[in-house]
Amino acid sequence: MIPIYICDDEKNIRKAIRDELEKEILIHDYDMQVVCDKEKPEELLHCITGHGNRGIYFLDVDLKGASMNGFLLGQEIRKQDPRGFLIYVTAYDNLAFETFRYKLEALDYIVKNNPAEMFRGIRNCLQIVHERTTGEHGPACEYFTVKFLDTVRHIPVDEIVFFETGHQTHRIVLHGLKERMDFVDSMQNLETQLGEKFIRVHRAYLINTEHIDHLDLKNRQIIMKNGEVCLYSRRIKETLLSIL
Amino acid sequence: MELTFWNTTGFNLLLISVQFLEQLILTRVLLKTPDKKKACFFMVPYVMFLSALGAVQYLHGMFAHVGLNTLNQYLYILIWCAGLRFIYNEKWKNAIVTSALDIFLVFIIIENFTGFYLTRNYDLSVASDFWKYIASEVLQAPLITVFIAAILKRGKVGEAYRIFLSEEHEKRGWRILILLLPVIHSAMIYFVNEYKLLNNSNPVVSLLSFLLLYGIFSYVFRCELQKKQLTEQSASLRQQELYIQNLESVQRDVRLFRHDYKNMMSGMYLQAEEGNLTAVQNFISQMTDDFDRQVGEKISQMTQLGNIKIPELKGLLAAKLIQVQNRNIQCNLEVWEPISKICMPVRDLCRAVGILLDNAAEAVAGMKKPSFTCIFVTGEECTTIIVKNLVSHPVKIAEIWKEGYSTKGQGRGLGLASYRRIIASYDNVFSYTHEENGIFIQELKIRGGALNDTNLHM
Repeated sequence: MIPIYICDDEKNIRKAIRDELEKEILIHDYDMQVVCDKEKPEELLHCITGHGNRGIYFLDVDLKGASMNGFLLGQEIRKQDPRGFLIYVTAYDNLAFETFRYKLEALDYIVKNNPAEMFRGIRNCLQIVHERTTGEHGPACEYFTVKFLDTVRHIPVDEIVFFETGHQTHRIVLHGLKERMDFVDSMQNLETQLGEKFIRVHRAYLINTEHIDHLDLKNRQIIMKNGEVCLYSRRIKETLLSIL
Repeated sequence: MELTFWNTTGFNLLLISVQFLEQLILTRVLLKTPDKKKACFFMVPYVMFLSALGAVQYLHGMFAHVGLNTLNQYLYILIWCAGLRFIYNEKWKNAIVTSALDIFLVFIIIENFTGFYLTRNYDLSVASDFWKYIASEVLQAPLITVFIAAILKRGKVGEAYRIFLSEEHEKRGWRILILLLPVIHSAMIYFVNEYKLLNNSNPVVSLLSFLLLYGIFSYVFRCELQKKQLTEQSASLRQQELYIQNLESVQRDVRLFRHDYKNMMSGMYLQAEEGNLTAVQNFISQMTDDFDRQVGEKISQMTQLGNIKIPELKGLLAAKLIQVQNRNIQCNLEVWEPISKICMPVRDLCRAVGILLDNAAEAVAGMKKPSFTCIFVTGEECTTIIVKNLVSHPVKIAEIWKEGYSTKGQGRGLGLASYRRIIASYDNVFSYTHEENGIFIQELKIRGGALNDTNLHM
């Protein structure tokens, strides 16, 4: 069950969001529940403490009369629930939301001026959360956690096609189905971290065996399912043939 | 002292190590700071091999022969070329040229510049001569090297040289000339010394050839550099003009709006007097909408732009914003905090950002409500630039980097390939490209610290 928290200083907005959420959960039979709706951020934080589950948070940006605004509250929540879903509800639509969204890794922001739009936004968010938590990579999906300078990213291991050493010192390039990222690490580290599914086929390549399409024996290349090409060294050929 | 193979090798170990350090010093000026671990790793076999070889050559008197001597230099060039490839990850064609230049300089330093006061060759079997020789090679040569490196650095030769290497259409003639330098130099000395190879050196000839070389190089490359800088500056100037024009147009719009709104206010006054509340409400909502559309958007964009304190980048963004506006594409720019420094040469930074913006605009053009987002975030560790746009079809992340790949027909798609090339030349620049729920996101992170600092030193 995924807990949902609401924090807004206006009582009727709080109620409107809560009603909409409960209706939506009922209709789609989502495994979620509104745990609490609070006016004050401190109360909300108190509510979260010790819960431990990955939650969904609907937060007002401009909390009147409170000790912190929605963004600071978001930062506090991140400390306790680093992978929770933050959704901002706001009256303005011209602040630097994309920046905050990036900084707090917020899921979305909803403009509350127009009730119909707001409800549509809420429904949309719930659907995305539902898909993310149960969809293609269920809860049991393994993630590869990588530090991308000042942020931490989680990439489903099954979506990683291969790693390659980059031109720069200590640079690794991750080739995924939906992404490509450079970061600092060493092949040895990755090899131990990722386990058996990945094989070091070449000094410069660590590949996910599940993404191999076929071998090009003549040019000593591995053609991956997404069309990318890796090299392999002679000593690994037997192992590769035995896998395929 | 009797010189045998073993003690000659021993002394050579010292001399070649010093020479290796001199090569590193010169390369540092010409290319960049070396990777220390790799440099040490390469040094051990390098020094051992060349010391033993040098001992054999010396004992057989091979240094007295001009042809063999020149060949010996080319052997050094080849080996050092491998070193440059290993230590600096330099491309072969650049490594060989740099290697030739390094070895040429090091050889004229150790063989010629240290010998201005000599009237005859050292006789290494005489102890006093021997120690003088060792001292001049170990103490004097590095000093001269540092001095020459300083001259090269002051004259911005390194910068010009790097541009020369990265030039798209390579100057093959110049490269070959550099490769031939040792031969030309040896031949010159050979003829000046009247067909006799004294100390296989002639300091005056070397000095002249060094100065001549320096003059030619700095003239030719400086001209190139200046031409390039000039075109860049004028482009940047044009872009900044656009920024000012944009500001002026905001001012004009505000004036216009003020004029309209006075007229409208008097209309509203009448309706309020009649007590027509709905008309007043309509009027107010219409007026705020009008304001947002006419001026608000531009003002907020200009405020964001104002936070960018790097003139070239500001100019580029201003120009791109106008460009996309003319195509009815909306660009949502966010620069929340002032940005005054990004640790990447501004020329390449602008090229990279320009490519990302062009790409996003290209991707959304033709959509119903085309728009994309560009945000700049400053953090303690790094500066982040994010460009994201909706995509109509899933993006093939593996394909987009190929030269010539484009969803929009032929003759396009060079952008991301050169984007990758730009990124790959910096140790402190990282990129992350991904797609999520139909949104294509390009993240570019530039690690902070002063330029040429932090990880360029690793």
